[in-house]
Amino acid sequence: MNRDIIRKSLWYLAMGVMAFFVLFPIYLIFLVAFAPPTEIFRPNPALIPSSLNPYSLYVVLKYYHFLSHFILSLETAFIVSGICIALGAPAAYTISRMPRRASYLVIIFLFVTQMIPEIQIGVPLASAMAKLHLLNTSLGIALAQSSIALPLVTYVLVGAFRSIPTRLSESAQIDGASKLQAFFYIDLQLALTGIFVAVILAWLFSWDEFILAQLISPLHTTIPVLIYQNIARGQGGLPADDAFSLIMTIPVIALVLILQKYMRSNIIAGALK
Amino acid sequence: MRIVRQLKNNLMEVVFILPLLIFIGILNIYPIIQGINLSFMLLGKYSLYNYYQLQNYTPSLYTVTVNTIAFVPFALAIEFFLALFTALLLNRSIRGRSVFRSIIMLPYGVATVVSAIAFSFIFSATNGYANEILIGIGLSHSQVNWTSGYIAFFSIAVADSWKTFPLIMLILLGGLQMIPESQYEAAAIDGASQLQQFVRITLPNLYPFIMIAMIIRAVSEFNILSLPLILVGSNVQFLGTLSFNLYETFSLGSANISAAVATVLLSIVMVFVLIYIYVSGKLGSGSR
Repeated sequence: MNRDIIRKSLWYLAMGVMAFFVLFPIYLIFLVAFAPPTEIFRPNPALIPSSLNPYSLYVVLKYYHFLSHFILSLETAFIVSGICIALGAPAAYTISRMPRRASYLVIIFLFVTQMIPEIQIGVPLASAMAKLHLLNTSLGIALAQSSIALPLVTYVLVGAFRSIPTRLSESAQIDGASKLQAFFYIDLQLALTGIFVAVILAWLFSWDEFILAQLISPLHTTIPVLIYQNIARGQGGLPADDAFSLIMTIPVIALVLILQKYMRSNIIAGALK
Repeated sequence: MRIVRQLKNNLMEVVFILPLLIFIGILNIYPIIQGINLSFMLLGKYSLYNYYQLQNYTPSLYTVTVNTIAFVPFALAIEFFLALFTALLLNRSIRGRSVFRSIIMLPYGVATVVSAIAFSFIFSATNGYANEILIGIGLSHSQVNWTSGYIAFFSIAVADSWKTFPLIMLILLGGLQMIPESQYEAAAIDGASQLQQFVRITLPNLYPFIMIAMIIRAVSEFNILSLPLILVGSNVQFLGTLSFNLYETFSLGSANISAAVATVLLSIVMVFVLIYIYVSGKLGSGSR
């Protein structure tokens, strides 16, 4: 009884420490976005601001074409999700039906193709995009980002398909369905949760990425590129950046909460079962 | 002939996987080959000039390479420790677990630029929060410059782990939840201690999950760029990693030399991958 209480308090203590570690930087973003400008221009703004002031948000909405950057980011992220699912889902289905050892090697191969620095693939891609008139477009950014996001997406999808028993589509085929029908009407339907998780992962990756985005769309930038360019110009720590950061973070936090609800162990671990 | 027949039987599977392979081939593998080719080129002729040029590099290519090789396991270790620790905690059924699970996942949704800004407040050279705490509890008497020298690697590793450990935690938690309870019960009956159970049951069962999580992260760690760009920026005292220096050379406009840097990076990566496949093949064939 006593031991149980000690154990539980130790658990809450350890979890509390981890929660603090996780939440403190997020709190800083909120703090700096809302604190009065005079209090931010210090390396260590007071942890409790003297007043809340939406000045930074006001600056962002007034002086930057915020909406156009925001829409470009959104568009790109959705196209990346689309490309990743369209290419990743069928491929993942095939991989999930391979012998274990072969599928493991294919997955590792996919990850290894990413081991080249983004800048090294980004520059030739940018010149190719220029020829195809895809520079400064969301499709151009999305194509480049998809090639990096695909391995993780495929990995998660392999897990999703693995968690579906093969006998379901097999018995459908015995009843006269074609392989393709079995895939569309059975496996794909049952893998919807996993596909949803994969969509969010691809989306998050695109929302975050700025090296490729900067190379391919230097004129019409996504939000992370905009923030980075502000910082690179030596205007780092400007209230505007923090306001951008905040606007960029809030919707995504909601997304992560949804993600963790659906990202059950059978999906993320399924590829290795 | 057998291959043709097999291909016919699995036509759908082949058609399913081809688009992905072609896409990756065009967007990833082709640029890689192009880069290797470029690194051996000088004014349209094959030459080792670019590689000789690397010797004049500051910091030297050797230093940068060693830094990269040292940084990756260091960052992975921090990430892995945080992830395993949280996964083990979250694997208990205690009230409030799902709330904590949600909180732990939050950093995964924070963009790298954003987390870098937050951590630049923590790791500022003068009076940042990290320094305030160290001086406050008396561990240090002077301001630590978190973004220069080797300490910069520590700051980068912590800031990077903060954002990425949730994903590893999820993978490990998935692995933990797949271990049958009966194994622990049997071990407990045989009188195995908690530590023994952890070493003999948890770790071996978790092994494939640890391996895939490490591969996923090592890939990004080798190429880590966005975070140091913002966190330490153009701090001349930063010692650099290969991909960071690649970016710098690139901004200076020498495509051939940066292609040479990339080729060096790629060769290092390939050595590690081959070792990895060899080791995992050996262990894998034994345990599974």
